[in-house]
Amino acid sequence: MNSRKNISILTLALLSSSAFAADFPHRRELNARSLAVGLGVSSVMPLVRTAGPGAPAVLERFLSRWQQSTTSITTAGDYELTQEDTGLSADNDRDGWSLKVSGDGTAVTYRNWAFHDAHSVPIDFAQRPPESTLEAWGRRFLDGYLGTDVLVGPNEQLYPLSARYDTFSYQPTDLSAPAVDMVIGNVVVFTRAVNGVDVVGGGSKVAVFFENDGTPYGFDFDWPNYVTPGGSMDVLSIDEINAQDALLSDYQFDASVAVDTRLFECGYFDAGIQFHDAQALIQPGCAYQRTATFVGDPDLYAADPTDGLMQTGFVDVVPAARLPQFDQFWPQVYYAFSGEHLRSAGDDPGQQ
Amino acid sequence: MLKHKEALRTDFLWLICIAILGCGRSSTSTPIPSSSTQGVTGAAPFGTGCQQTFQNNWQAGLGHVWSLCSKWNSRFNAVADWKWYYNLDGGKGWWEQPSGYGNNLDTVNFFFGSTHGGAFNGTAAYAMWNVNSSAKTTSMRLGNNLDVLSTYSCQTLKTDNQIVARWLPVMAGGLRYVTGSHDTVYDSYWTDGSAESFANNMAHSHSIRSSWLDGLWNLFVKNDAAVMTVGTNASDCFNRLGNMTAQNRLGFPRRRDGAIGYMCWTTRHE
Repeated sequence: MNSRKNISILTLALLSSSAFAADFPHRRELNARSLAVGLGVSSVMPLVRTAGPGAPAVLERFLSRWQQSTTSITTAGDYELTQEDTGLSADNDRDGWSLKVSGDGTAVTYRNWAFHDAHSVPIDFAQRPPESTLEAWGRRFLDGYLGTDVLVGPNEQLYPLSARYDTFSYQPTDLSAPAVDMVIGNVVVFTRAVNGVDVVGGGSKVAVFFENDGTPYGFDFDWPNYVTPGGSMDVLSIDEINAQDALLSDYQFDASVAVDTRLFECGYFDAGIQFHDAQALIQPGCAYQRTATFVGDPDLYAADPTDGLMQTGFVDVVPAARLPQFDQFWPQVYYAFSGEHLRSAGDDPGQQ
Repeated sequence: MLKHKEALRTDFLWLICIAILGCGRSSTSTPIPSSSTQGVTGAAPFGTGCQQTFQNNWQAGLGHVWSLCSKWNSRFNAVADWKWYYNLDGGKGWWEQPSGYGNNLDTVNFFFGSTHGGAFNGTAAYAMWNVNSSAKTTSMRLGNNLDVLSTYSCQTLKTDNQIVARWLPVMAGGLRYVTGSHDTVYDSYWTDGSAESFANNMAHSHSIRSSWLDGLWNLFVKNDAAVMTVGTNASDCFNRLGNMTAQNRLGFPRRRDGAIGYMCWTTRHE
């Protein structure tokens, strides 16, 4: 237990501001607020994720929408249909696009892979589209392509969350020149707040992928409609949330391990349709994305304490309701109720 | 597999079939051809090596590696030929010294692994199960058979001024492609399908680069995906990095030793 408490202490001490380099102000504010006060409210109304129209209907709608399109967002040509455990996919491997609709139809992924591979013209990293441009491109795409799918209700707000850049770098192996860094693709992610409370996790997110000239070549969204079934849930203070983290974290480290919190976000936790328990409420929670650094080679480390170090990344989402309700796909809630860690199937294969 | 043609777009029976009857699970797949110095033909052989817990807890346990690797095996086996899957107890030998072991990284065309990783001074390293044991890239020369080395491990493709020193010894043997991370990949319930998604993308003949970047992409968890290859010059490297697929990789000649003039890499960067 002592080692678990160490995590919480280090978490507060080591939150890395540099990790937010490509995050929008809203995310920086969310992280800062979460660190200081958790959700910053004493209670919230829980939400229910309204079931979508089903993957087949949504897939057909999107296939029809862009069937005649000759742009980078197209579903023209032959395709193969695949039913998977998580949804339905249409893939046109010849022309290089794919469309997947997950679960009840509230999450969709589209990529025009071939277009991107053919049009990813590198530009200097310093010339990459700034975050404000990515936001503008993203909003334009949402209005023009997903206006009937990514809807923002009267008590909801849409915020730009983060930007990411796909780089291309090269260097001669004789090291006669330094590495050259260029950009070949761009991603902008938006999130949603409901009743003034951010939704954290994979739900209520929409991402748009752009070439350097602003041409879109893909998108993801997990965007349900929420309703409030009534009632409210009392919310823990930040000290109580950190205490819960010490009890429920999936990971234990001794005091020699340096833990760095890359992201810490409190709000409604919606993991997204792939991890959604249809019987569960959308409840308050706090998501930690952390790294742990430890000695991987004692000899190298002894000679140089900056050398011989290894790293791992781990994720915990701590329930922030004083009386959380059961969710069979939320690992820390599952552990709190059952005492068992939630794991997908998989066994030790044994030694060669 | 359900093959659907343009002319049948208005026929929704397939949707009804899927929605009501289930119709069973299917996976679209483009078979991945083999390359081998032994001249074996057919589907490409692949091997897997992963570690979730560590001897005497010398490294922190990872909670989701077995599921990550099992899902990879299941999906990739639909398009390639699964040969072996081991934990990393004693793994240093068959990672670093391929000739001394019957099954090692260079007996297959594709290898996937997951464990702790690090970017040491002058070498990248992968944690083995055994106390204080790690496989180091400067002791690995691959490419007699191996085409693609993929690891879900942190930092092994760190893009500092030592990336060439860390990886040239591995690539000098003719290895075609590496996928990994320049910073952090997360062990979690929400990311244990990453390798399965990578395999699925490759099964559809998407470029290895796009397959890996997209496989590790997640609307919740910020995985730092990276890929790397080599070329005679920057243009050759750019072409190989962006256009190589699991299916067409044999059309990209192995670059060995002095034929390697450049290394290049792509990251999904903040």
